[in-house]
Amino acid sequence: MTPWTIERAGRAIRAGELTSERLTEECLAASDRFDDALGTYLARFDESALAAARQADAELAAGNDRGPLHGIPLGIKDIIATDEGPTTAQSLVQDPAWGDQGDGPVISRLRAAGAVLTGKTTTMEYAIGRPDFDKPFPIPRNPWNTERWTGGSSSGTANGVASGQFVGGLGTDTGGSVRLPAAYCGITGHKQTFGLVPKSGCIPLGLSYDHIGPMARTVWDCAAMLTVMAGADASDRTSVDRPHVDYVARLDQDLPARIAVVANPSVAASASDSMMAAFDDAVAAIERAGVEVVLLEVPHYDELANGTFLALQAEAFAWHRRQLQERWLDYGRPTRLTIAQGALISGGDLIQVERVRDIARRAVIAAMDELGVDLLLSPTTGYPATPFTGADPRAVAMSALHTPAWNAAGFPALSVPMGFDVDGLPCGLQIIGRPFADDQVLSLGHRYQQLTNWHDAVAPIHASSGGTQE
Amino acid sequence: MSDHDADPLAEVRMLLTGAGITAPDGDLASLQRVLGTARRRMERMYAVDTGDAVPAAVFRAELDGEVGR
Repeated sequence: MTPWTIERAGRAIRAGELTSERLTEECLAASDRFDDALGTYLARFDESALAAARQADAELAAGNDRGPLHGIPLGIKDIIATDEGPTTAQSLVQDPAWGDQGDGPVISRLRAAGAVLTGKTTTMEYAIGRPDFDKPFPIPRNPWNTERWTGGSSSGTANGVASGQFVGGLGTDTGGSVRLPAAYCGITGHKQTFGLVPKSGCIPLGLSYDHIGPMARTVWDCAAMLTVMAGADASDRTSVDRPHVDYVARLDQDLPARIAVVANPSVAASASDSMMAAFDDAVAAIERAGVEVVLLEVPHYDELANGTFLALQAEAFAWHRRQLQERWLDYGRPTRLTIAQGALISGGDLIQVERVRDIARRAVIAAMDELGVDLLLSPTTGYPATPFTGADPRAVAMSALHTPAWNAAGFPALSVPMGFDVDGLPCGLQIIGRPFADDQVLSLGHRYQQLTNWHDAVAPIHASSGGTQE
Repeated sequence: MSDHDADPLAEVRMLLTGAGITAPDGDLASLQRVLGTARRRMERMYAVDTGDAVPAAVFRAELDGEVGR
């Protein structure tokens, strides 16, 4: 009753035990069962997905194998343009014509690798804010407890992967929006090094903090997606030309001799006891594998996080200002109030944020050099998924403070499942690396998933209904 | 101290109006409540010794369409 992974589905397809068409049909059937309850999709592409799956099968039968994503169903967060139709950003404000540009480079690469796009998934409006019950859009719900949020903002991609509605998908991450819902929904999500993956074709939130990242059940799957997604494109001047890396091939590299736990007081201060207990267990599992674990108080850690919040608001305000002037009340209240905070920041303030960003990035690298570590660990979130009503205000305020520092630094950061809290809700382990050392980050995550089986856990909504099987 | 320092609501209203935005009183009141937090966050950024550091987002002079190296 375990949902397919990209790795296992690919193996089954090549062994003749599965076809892309059957896999896609299973995913669509899962959506028929779960989409209403979970609020996964804003638009489904059933017909074109099945056509793409049949084409994938025909190509494989003819000996044309495009690689690990060939015939694999993927869900796409609906702030990323695709050829199939409009991009809504889950907003009444968004001009449907924006999506006329069609596939951006990442979508083109996934398609060229044989991926099957099943539809556009829910988000928070413009990838920011909180669930908004006042707007005519689905509310994404957590497959582990539908009275709780998925986390945001790559919400539908996370709950869709967790419930077997597609095998992998795309999210975007400006302050944690891939890693947070991945952790809340018990899946794996990777925010790669800034610039590794071009982000053109994606509606911007924080122009210099945004990332398009892979989300899937396992690190292997995310590595397979990143291998296809990475690489500069002329349409995004922030993308960086680097040698191509096969991230799957690098998964089995030796474990590092030493890693560091982020030991800043604000980490434990903004996490529940049960989250820290799960984190301690995860660190102990890695230590037992022969890795020395030391502590590092990350320099300017809180300033990096603060800077992300301040700058993304300013950058979002720059993008939204005209629409805010004309259609203030058409934005959801959480969205407009968050973006409007960008108007409270002066030009000098933003310059100072960017100066601190550069100082801090260099200081973190120097501290890692001094300690002789390439990888850092922290909990992904301070608390598990919060309920829609009656949430502990502290949990809401504190939960998302562990991810944004790495958007400002631009470092790669991965979230993998690391167990459950006292209420049976998933917890995430965050693995952070040096710029463009995504292979090391993914490798440690992969080894952790060989040491544990948290990533194999199946959400109750899927387990109870005869979902996708393998 | 300016008049706006003494009246955060007026400051928020001025900043939004200056940006061409007319927001209802309830929204202005909400933004007023977060103004202090935003200012404290900013003061922490100014407390960092940044010396002559240039901003992280630095203009590059190559033509549009060229890829970073």
